[in-house]
Amino acid sequence: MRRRTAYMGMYLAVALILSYVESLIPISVGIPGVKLGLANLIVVIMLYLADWREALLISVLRIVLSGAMFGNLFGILYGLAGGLFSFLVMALLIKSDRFHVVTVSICGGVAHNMAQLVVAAFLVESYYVIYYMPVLLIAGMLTGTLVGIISWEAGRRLPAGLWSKRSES
Amino acid sequence: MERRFGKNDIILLSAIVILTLGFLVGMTQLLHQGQRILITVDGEIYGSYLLSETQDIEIRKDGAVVNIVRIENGRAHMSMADCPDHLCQKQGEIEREGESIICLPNRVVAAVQGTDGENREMDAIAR
Repeated sequence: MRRRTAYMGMYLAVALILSYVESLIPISVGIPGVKLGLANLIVVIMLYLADWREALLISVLRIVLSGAMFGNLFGILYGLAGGLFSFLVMALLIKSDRFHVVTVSICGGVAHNMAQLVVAAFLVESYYVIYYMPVLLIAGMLTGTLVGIISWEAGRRLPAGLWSKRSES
Repeated sequence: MERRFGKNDIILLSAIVILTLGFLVGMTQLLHQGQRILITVDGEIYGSYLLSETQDIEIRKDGAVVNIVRIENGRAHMSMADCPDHLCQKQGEIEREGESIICLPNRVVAAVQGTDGENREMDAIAR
């Protein structure tokens, strides 16, 4: 249990660092909030190698903490909407055990952006925001592909016993 | 994590791509659909007319009708021109934002505009 706590702290630290790195890379497609989603790497890897509850915990903590440090309240709100929906989609896809890591990650990226756009539409009370949907879907696919490939390559190289599911708790 | 890329992946990813393309086509159609025709004469605004109403707009200069713009089925074309070449009548119909018909001899320009209200609402998120 203690060892698990230590690992989770490390994963959270890596996720926060990735959020920080992300905040240093400006990608401008004319829409605020489009990010690489690098921190999603940790969620994807944890969903595969750890327990989904632990992955969810790290995901929520990462969004709240990085929002408090590098963003603002709205950032946290958008982030949670996107993060939770994308988490749900990816967790279900992984549970079905029918899809490749990259596919899971792409769906996660797309789900993330769709959820954020829906929240944005509510916040500005205008359904014209939906016009951004195609750009955000494409952005989600691209960043999802990138994150998926990195997760796959990283996950393959992690020692198998590192995150055995609930074995030692 | 060790699962290979297979048929399931291709089906799911194709579905996403098709969804995106559907949005893309639908949105660009909606987005660029013009709402009004703005007519300027000698560089000054003559009037703005709804594309959704079928109507004939007579453009008068010094009391005489020099051009008639006809709006029909959400499209506009120049139905009459008193100039010798009638080039503007050959420019066809316009309906999308940014398209225009120009009658050079009379210095009449008819251009399609989107609604301002929509654009303003869309920009609210970009702040």
